Amino acid sequence: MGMTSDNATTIYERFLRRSTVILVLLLLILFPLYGDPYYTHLMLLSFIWAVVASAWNLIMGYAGIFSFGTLAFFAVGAYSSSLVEVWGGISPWPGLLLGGSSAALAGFIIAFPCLRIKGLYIVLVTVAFHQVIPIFIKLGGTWTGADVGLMDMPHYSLFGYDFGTYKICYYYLALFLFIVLHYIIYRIIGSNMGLAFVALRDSESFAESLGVNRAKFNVVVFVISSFIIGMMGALYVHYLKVATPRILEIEIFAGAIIMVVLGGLGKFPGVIISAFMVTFLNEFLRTAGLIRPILLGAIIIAVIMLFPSGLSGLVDSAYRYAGRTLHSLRPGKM
Amino acid sequence: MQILVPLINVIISGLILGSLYAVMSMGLTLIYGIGRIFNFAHGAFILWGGYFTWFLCTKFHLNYGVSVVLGILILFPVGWVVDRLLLYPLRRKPNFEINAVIVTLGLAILLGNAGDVIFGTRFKTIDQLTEGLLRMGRFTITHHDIATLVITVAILLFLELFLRKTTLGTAMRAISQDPVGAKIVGINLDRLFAFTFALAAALGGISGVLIAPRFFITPAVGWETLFKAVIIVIFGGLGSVKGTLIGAFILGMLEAFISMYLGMFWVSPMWFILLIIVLFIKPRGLFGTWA
Amino acid sequence: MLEVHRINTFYGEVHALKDVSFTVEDGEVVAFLGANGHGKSTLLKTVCGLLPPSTGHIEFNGRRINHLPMHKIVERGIVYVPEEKHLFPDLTVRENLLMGAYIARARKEREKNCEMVFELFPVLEKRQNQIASTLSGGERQMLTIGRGLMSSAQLMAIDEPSVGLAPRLKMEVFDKIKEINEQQGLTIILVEQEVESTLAISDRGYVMKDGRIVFEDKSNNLSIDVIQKQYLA
Repeated sequence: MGMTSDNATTIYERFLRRSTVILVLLLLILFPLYGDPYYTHLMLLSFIWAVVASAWNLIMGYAGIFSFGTLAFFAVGAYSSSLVEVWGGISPWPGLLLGGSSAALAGFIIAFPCLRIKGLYIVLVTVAFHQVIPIFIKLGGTWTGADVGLMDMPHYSLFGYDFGTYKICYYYLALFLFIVLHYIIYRIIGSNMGLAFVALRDSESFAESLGVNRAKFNVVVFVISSFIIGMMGALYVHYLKVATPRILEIEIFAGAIIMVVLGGLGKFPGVIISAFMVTFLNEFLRTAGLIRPILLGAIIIAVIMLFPSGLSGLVDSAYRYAGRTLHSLRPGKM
Repeated sequence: MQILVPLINVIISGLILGSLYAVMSMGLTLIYGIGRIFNFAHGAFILWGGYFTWFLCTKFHLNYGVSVVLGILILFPVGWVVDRLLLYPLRRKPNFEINAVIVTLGLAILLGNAGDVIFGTRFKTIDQLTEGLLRMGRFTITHHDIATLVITVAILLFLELFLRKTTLGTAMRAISQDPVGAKIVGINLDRLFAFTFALAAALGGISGVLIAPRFFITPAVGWETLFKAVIIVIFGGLGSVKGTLIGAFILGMLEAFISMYLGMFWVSPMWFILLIIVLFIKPRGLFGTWA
Repeated sequence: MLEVHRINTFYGEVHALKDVSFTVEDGEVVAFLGANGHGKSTLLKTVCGLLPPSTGHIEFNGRRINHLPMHKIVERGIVYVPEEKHLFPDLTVRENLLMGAYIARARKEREKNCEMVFELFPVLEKRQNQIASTLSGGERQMLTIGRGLMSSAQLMAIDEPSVGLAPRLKMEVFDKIKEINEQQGLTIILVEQEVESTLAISDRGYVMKDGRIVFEDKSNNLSIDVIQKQYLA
């Protein structure tokens, strides 16, 4: 026969993957119409965090740049968009883009010292950046809302519907960005740029000898991931209607790290699933109070020890297994 | 003469702070130099030095000095166990460095807040080792500070002798220079990694005990001390014992001066600015060997 | 003394050793010859425990060692003298030697072994307080061998000791190796590219090609021609 067994199973796998994605998207679109508002809220948060985690995965897992302080860009986007709208009178839609852009600028700036250093030092530089931001926020006093938080950001509105009143609009906005930004990330990974990232990560000198410009790609991945994360930061604080330094707290940081690590560094779509899992878990643990950070710490340890390749590894195996099963069931085999 | 007195007081403060910081940061350097990983949980060990001492002092009414010794004795095996349980299995798998950072981060978060859960969130304080001041002409220095200085200098000397003169210490230096060579001469690397980690935990614990009387013991202390230790270690050069020593004294002296002449408020920003400067200008630090 | 049964070793995906079997008797000097990249170094690394074999087993003095971690193999009595040296650059010559005697058995005889090494390599005694990174290439090779001798081993596996050395030094190294073998009865496995000198000091030789042993004979019967013929076959 013309086809080898491997080719055939791949076709089944691809079919399964595509149909699953479409099915899930349909469910997500219909969800808020029939679902409990509480869960809609959680889903919304999950969309935001899934995008953040995916962008973080892009820079850390895919490009191999250990940027532990990536969450800082979340705060940069959140605060820059809010500040510019509250004090500068800019309306929220351009504010959203501005949040992303200023985060991208910050990413651009941070990328340069990171070019000269490797591995662990990048962890330290980015974490230092993460640690510095709350200090500036607190120093800002009434301008930035300090510890209390910055409020009174203008609401998004579309076709006359004020998002503040009709929260369901936020859901669809978040879902829309979730789909679009993930599509962009996906295309990046599949493109030549994505190949370059992986090549630089796995075999730097070889990649450079082929003419891959490490500096350029490192800066680009910083800019892209920070833009995406910054934009999500802006959306996040607009939804919550307040921007506080608490978005950089250890618990949020721990949650985000778990998402990236549990999902599987450098692999998709595990990151998306783990983002949902962690968001829901965090919510349910809210009553646990003091125990929560301890549990988060324990979960981080458990995930690394037990699933070094994360959920993505499991997802891949599941699809492969299902694909093989379908293949062996096809008619005419005997 | 008027400037001289406070100046000498500041220098003395700087020396005490410097030696304290040196003991505080040494564990981090040792783990990086020998184990080649960054121990995010270093601050947690410092914090728990404080917790153990507080617990032994208040619950069992033990003398501060005894509590110090017991605290160290407890933290050494804790460090050993952490290495065996968490790091040893990860060494055999790929991506060890990044996995080690993440797992120690998880441990730091866990241990950092466990104290609040186990001991309650009430403020905890420890009294100083001894009350009393020593006056020498116009200079004053508390007995506690003298004791701190004596203890830390003794520890640093002991460490130096250990690393230079003993076989085990030389083996540790050997691993940091060529791990394959260490294997070739028959050194059991896993056991030495565990020993290094345990030693680092004990050193962290000691510094936590010595620092404890100055602060309330809260989880934040774990992160703040980690932050300072990181800056000192980077400034001196990751993995260099000599660099950490010199870096700690320079920065301790700097903090003493800024604290005296600019005010306590400027101490925190000083550390941040230092970190940014070092990372942007000379990430290798003074004596660092890895970029 | 040493029996190697059908070992296969992989460097990642590369099948570096294919069904290799050989023996080494007490007191012999056995040579492994062949061009670069055909598995000679991998063979030594496998025997000494740096790179475990995927299949097959290795017996030393009747006991299996292929599954043991390297430090245990050193304790059993096999020491590795690598081509890359792996000296401790910031330790002194003396400290490097003392590290060579790290295992318990050797530690007791530390001073005695050190004297022996100094007698063999006087230049090491002269430079004993210098740090290793200041030594010349030849001195480093001597230090590497000396460090190996400190472990009171029964079998020493030496990987290309003459590489990068001037001809006079090369001769000296081979002479010393022969001297060690004769005076101390130390069994030696020697991997080399210098065919003639190696054959001159060894009892038997194996020729390796593509990760396999393709020929073996007493050194008297071997020569460059014989080996070349194996590669052209």
